[in-house]
Amino acid sequence: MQPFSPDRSRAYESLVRAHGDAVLRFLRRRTEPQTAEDVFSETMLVLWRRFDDVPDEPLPWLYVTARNCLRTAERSTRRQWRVVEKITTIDPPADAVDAGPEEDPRADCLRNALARLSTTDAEVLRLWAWEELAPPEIATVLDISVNAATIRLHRAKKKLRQEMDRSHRPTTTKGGDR
Amino acid sequence: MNDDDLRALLRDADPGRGQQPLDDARIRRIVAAAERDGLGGTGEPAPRRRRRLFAGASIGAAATAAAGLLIAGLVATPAVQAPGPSETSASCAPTSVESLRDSDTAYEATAITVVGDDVTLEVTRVFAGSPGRTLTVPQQHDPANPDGAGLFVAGESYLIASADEYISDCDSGPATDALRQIYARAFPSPTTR
Repeated sequence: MQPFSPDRSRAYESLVRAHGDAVLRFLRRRTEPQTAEDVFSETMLVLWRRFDDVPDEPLPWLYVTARNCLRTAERSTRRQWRVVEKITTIDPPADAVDAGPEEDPRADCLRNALARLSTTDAEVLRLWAWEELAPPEIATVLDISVNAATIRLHRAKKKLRQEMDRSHRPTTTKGGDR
Repeated sequence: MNDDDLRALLRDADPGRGQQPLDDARIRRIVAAAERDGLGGTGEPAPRRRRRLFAGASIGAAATAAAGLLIAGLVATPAVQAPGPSETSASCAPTSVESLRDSDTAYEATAITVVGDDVTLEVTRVFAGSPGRTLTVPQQHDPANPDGAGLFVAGESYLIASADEYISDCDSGPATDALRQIYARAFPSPTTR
């Protein structure tokens, strides 16, 4: 439990105003909406309790905190899914969303390709494209070296392009055309 | 396709796109919750039940309905230690008479068999509601337990509280004397089976 003080409260509010949206978006990209809301609340409490530990650049730290809180919540959820006979259907998180009628014609191909990537590759791409993180920040979030983050990002982009190419490749049938 | 194209394409597919920003009222609630936490409160308004409860099933006369139970205090420690929830049982406040009185069903049950992943619980004492006599629940594996042992152990007793078919992982757990006393204070007229 952290002691309350007006200064601390004001500084905390500033951080929430500056980064709360990004943290909530981070969670909504990775889980269904209700869980995202719950885990966001938990993350904000952790932020308060560990306020003294928050680094100068707080966003990667907040993403790590949110991810840890999400893991805790998902562990409960996995148990829940195993044990319940009757359960409210939960909308799964979208891996990616339709962009609507103006959608880039390659978007569908990208969604399929993204879904075929490993969890690790997909996550590094999400951090790069959606959270707009650079390799040093990705390294912090994934708890790996900057070099490893750079390599992992490079490989993930390459795999994504390969998967997109593959989905464009025409399929061949045995025996060919008659 | 260069990196910029790829990034733009990925952004188009971003499920977080279009999220409404946090409004002032929400931010004030977050700050107020934090301040309450600093004063010994319990966090954002009423998260306890929603966050700390998970779905059970038709716990009734059918007797074999599945139910969930996450034993507070035996819950795995977070896979990644820090930063994150600092307490083993996440944000559970200590079980209290008041929190238990949110429950419509409360009982003590003994794990009578553990066969594979199936655990059969026999209800031995009913504090509130009508839980039925027997429940079959899947074993709960603790990922932090190196030998893979489950949470339920045959012959051991558990105290379980639920509301609206949701079992509280905060208020349920191994049947210790201390927890049983709180249950008894919350529900003073238990019936023994």
